[in-house]
Amino acid sequence: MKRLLVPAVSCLALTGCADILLDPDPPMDPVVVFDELWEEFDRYYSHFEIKAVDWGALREVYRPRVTPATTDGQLFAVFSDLLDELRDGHVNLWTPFALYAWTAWADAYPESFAWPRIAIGYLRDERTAAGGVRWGRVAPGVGYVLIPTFADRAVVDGVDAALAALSGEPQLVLDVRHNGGGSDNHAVAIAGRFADAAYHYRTVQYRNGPAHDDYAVPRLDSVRPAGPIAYRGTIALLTNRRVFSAAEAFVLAMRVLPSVTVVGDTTGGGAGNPITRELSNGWVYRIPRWVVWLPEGGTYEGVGLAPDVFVQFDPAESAGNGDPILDSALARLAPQERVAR
Amino acid sequence: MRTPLVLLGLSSSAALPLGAQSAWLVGLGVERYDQADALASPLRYGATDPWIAVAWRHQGRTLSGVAVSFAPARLTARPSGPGSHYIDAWGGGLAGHWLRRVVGTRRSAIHIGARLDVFASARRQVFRPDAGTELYADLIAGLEGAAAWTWWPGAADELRQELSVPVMSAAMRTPYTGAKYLPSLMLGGPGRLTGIRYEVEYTRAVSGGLALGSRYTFDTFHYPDPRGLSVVSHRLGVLARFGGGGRR
Repeated sequence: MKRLLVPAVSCLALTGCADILLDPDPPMDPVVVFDELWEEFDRYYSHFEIKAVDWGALREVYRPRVTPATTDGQLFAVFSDLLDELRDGHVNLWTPFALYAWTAWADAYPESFAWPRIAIGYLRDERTAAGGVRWGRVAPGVGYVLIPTFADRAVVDGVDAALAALSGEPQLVLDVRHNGGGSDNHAVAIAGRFADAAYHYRTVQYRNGPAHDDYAVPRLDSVRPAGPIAYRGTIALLTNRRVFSAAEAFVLAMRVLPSVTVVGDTTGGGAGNPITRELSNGWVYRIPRWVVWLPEGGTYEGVGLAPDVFVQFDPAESAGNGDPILDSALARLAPQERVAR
Repeated sequence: MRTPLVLLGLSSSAALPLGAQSAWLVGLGVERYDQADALASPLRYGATDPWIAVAWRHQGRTLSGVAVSFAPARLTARPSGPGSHYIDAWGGGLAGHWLRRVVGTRRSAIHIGARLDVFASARRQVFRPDAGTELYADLIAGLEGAAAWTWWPGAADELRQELSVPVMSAAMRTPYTGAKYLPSLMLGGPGRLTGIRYEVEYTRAVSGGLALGSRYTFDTFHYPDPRGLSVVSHRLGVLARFGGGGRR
């Protein structure tokens, strides 16, 4: 049985070889961590060309600020300054002690939304539904649906419930103000409730190579009729600067419908579809991976989607309890259609 | 975790031709799995979790068979602050092999042939709760050259060792290879996937149709593209063989 010793010894010898065959974890050196973050963005970030960011030059600016003695707080400050250069609301950095987010896409503009004003001053027969959806009527023949997020699949059910109750109304206000996004799939699924036929609403391209302008083959995204309710009335879609990401995909999908008028402020301008990754010190970050092209060409990244009817207001400064954006939408919905009901 | 159970070498027919035989094998045990996947993280992840496998083997003039295995795992990295991250992996493998006896005596036999190994894994990488999760998947297929040495030290005992190395491979990984949630196919030729797989198995027949034993499998491979995936796996477990011979 001596020969049995050979495989037995082989097994024992092999059990300790993971440390030999696999590269060790990188040291938690701030310089190493800086390089990791810089290289990952260099490899994956999709908006360098669109935003005319010279990422290589920024490395030369910020890397000298990091040394092996740099503290976590100092490193976070350097990363914040570096990432600010991208001016991208989809770029985030989570640490145990702080969160980095570039929020100027919204903070620099009036809020243009105050839910209490709508709830008190306009909405009748208010109901709530799944996904935080609120709905009711804001005028005779005019339904109102607030879609606060596209983060959860439940929002599709919530909108279906609202449309089931409001399908007899010839006009509808869809309010996505302050909707920060979620899943494009949910947004497009809801848009399908208003579509008569499939139509192209955007083109996306993933970054797929080492050069900053390496993009995959364009993918044409379409909206297709979907859902139990097919609403065919006139629609006012309310937007503001805090409409972002998947909520902008919803605006993209809706604005091409002839029955839709977009009223309010320009949207936030974030189209990145980010992935989440981690650094060797455990910090987590997000990188936008694609670019979105409008059907007519160009992109809204960092710019936003302009409304058909521009209205903005600051609830903190505007007198009264009115909602100028909702007022404008109601004024533009055809009165004769209301009478026709 | 990549390597399913492989079934060969249990054959006494190599030394004592008994005609074609078929057998089922069931194995279970624990696996130590370590990975360095630059696409997923700069950190090494590892886990010790159970595996289970079912295999069917046919042995006659040649040895052939298929095996499926399943090994769920929760991979973790070194502690990096509160709310450690982890990767839930659900991996399954399908392997087939075909080997032909080249040397045989009453006490031992050597087989040489090939095996085809396909491993698929769905993964959910979980970061801190407010940072969300990422879903992705791997599919790696390899054609390997294999050699097995089987030794029968006693009437009821059998010891088998097998060594295999990849000859040709293909990998499909998502999302980090250029298209989130869209597969990115990378075909690799000889040398793209490097590694080695070693397996040792001991069984003892306890009745005419049942044999019990244990198995250890060491598997390591490195896939270089696009950013390197290296894996080291140790599997240890027990197995039962139904049919296909028994006490000789």
